[in-house]
Amino acid sequence: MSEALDALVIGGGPHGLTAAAYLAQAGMRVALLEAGEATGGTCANALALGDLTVPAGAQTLYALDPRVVKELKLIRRGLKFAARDLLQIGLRADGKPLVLGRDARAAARSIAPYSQRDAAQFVDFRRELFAFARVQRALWWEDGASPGLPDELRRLGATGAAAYLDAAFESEAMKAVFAFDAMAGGMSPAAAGTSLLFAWRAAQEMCGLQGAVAVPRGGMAALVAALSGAAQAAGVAIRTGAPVARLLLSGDAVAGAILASGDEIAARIVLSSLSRRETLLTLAPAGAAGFAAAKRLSRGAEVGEAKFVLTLKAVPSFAALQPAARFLIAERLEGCIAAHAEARAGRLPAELALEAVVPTAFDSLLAPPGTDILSVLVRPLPVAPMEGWPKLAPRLSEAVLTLLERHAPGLRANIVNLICVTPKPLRDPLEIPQLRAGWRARIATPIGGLFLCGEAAEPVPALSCRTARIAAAIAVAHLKGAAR
Amino acid sequence: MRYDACIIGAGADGLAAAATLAGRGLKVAVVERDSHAGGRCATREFHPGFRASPYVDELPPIPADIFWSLDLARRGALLAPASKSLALWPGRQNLLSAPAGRAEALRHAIVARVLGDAAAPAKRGLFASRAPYAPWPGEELSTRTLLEAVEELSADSAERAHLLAAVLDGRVCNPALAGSALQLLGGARGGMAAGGLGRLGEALRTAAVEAGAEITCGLEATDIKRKAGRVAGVGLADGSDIAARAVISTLDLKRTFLSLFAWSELPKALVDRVGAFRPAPGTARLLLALDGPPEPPAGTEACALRGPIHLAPSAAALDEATRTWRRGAVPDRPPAMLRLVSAVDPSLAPPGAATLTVTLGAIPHTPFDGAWTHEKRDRLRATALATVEVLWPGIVKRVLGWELILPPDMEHMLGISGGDLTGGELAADQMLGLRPFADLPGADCRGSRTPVEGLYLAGPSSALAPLATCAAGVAAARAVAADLAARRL
Repeated sequence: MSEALDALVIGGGPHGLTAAAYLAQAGMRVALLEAGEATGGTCANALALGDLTVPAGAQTLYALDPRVVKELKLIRRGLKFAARDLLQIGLRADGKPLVLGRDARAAARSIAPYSQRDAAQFVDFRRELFAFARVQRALWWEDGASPGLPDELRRLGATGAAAYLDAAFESEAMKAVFAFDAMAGGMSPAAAGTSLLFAWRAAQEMCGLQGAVAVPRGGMAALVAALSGAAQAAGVAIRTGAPVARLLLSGDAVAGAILASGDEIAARIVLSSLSRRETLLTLAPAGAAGFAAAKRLSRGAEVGEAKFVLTLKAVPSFAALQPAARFLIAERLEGCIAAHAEARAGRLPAELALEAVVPTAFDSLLAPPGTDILSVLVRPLPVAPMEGWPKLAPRLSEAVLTLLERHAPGLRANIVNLICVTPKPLRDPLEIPQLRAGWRARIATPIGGLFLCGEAAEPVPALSCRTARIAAAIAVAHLKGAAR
Repeated sequence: MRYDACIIGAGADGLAAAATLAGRGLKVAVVERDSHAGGRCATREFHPGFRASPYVDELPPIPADIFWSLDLARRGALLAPASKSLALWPGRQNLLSAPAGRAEALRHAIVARVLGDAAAPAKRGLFASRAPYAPWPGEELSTRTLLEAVEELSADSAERAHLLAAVLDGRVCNPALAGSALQLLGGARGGMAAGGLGRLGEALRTAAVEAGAEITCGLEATDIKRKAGRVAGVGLADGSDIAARAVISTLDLKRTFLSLFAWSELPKALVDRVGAFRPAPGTARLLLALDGPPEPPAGTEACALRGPIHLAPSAAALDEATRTWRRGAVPDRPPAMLRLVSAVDPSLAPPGAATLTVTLGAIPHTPFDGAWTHEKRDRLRATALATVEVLWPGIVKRVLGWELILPPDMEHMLGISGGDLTGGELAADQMLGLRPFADLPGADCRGSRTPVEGLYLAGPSSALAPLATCAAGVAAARAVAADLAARRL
């Protein structure tokens, strides 16, 4: 065993790469361990879909931290945006689509056919969320200790998304547009505190790169390439094909990791971009996380989301109108609450909420001419259905295609290839107290020197890389404190 | 003549407030819409010789210091200690004593906090919301699920289902939702009053009258008079006014603000909040007169029938019923709780006979297919009796007479919006410091105060109502007394 490294980063996805790059920039000797053959994690083009390869994870960037872009010189390393500030379009079977962009007047015009009152209310709704986001800003930029939940957010922190939307809007159409986002993290929209998700979204929009929802040119893989270039330039030793078997502990603190191959790598701190559950229950030795934490973690998320990627011979009709948009499909908010209960019970819900993006509509690099890609996220779905995913997946595909066909007639006939990624079983359940806590509470673990730097420590599941940047700062401070 | 305080509604809260204020030498008037005082503390003959408390069998406990300071025991309010509850499933049963402990301690702490807030004079204007926020006892429950909380109390799955039903005590909720753990606070039972709850109401009325309060029954308050932004009195249905320096409303939140005021007079933030206040799933009551005490179900002792009897409780059924209610439909198998009230208090039935009450959860005020009709009522009664018959055979053939009380009946008789006895869903955004509203800018809403200067809110939508009986009224009375003493009114 060679001399101990300063830091070890587990997982070579965007979060792991960002954390490793920052640690190396701070002068640490860093190694990054990636289980797969290439870096990128769920953002790498790892799924074969006909002649193409597509990523299994996120389909859009949500509020990529502008400081990460600047400090890691990502633009110089080739990161470009194919589309920024994606419009939010709610597709309706009972009328015209709702186009909710930044232009408040245009938004009001598209809401008016459903409800005059909601059209007037939408401006107030957004203003209120941004006011909450401003209050939250301290919580958002804060790199260290938590300032706690500001007074103004206390009511929001107790209100369910459904109750919040019910109070804000009268038309079912408007409520349904937000149903998909209300189920981020696998909570029921009726659960207390889920309206905080909207405030976090607004905060991310305010603090992210202008144009919160963006897609890199060349897909998510382009972001991975830029980040991996930054990590290598900073001097990170990247080891691919090196799955970690478990963590090495000395006393209550982490001392390194043991690879599946049996190699031991000593390090003073470890940052994991895996989920909290995977890090503390699978990698850490039994009992290291503490009894109560282990019990809570073992529950895991019960409700998750699936991803569908389709290659098509023609652009779906809804995307022809406004290519750079995320299309949201949900019939009724109330239906989503019932669907969540169904999914929790392990059944396929009767009503589903979808988010569809057509990346080829604004990025011609992704597929050869004449081929279009449609990427769809589906919520809420059981993580472990009673009949098992192999049996349920065909039924889900059928349900999703029927729903898509209703909003884009003729889509089914155009499908060339289709792939379905079923919900990840190892995800952490979203916990409302986490939304109220500061970064440090989410990043730190009960094990000394072990930090989370991935999506597990994001307040709202999103690919912003902000967590990784802050986790690296906290880890560096920890190392300096230990040295003193 | 100008009164120091006028109290709208002579229920337990209103009478306790009147007795407290009058006991301090203040001039108090109480106006009640109904022909008699007591509100839900009532006992009625629903079949010749058979009596029952029509709305609830048991109220939440009266805090001990209030019980003794109003001298209720001497005035005839005798409360039997809360008995164990029984759960019946096909071929199985479970007997459970009321879970005490942490929830009990939290309730005490919350009551103490509100009473303490009430006793400090109101802060108005600049200083209204400057104090640093102090977390409420039990606030951590607002992010937890009731299922989790119940899992901590028991390892046995049947017992957990029983605990859920016992905590909810006839109410329903989705126990898997974050925030549902707050239902634990509302689960206390104060014991049955000897002679029915009407005796408790009578004792409270005597306490108020003997302290010197004037109670006028059969007179409805129609509006709250204001002068220079503050409350000046109450307008009555007969066209007369009562001038008062302070008004305590024991109506629910919606009635208080949406029917006693013109909406345009109130701040928009307040009207929005009141409008968005969500009702809890309603309950229906079926009062049954039986020709004799029923045989205990197989395997059960007769003494187990003294407490609440929950029929086949389960988390899934509660969730299902809640969702059915949200759709406006009547559940096929509504969660049911039985009480053989004559087993605890034989005076409620003629000698040799028995009175049984059935509380049905998740009953909509107005079904989605139109208002309640005779056919729908009959169907619900048949459903309820069939549910009882499956788990406890031999009851239906003993039934001599019955009365079914639905949410619209409760709305009509008690004057509560939507017939919702809970006064608003016990959700995280409608509990603790957020019940009935969070501090609105520039207003001090602590200790039952409202943004309208001089108006105090007791009654079902107040913070203490789900936790304790009379406490909300006493808190409002203390707030009035404190503000009068500090010349804030």
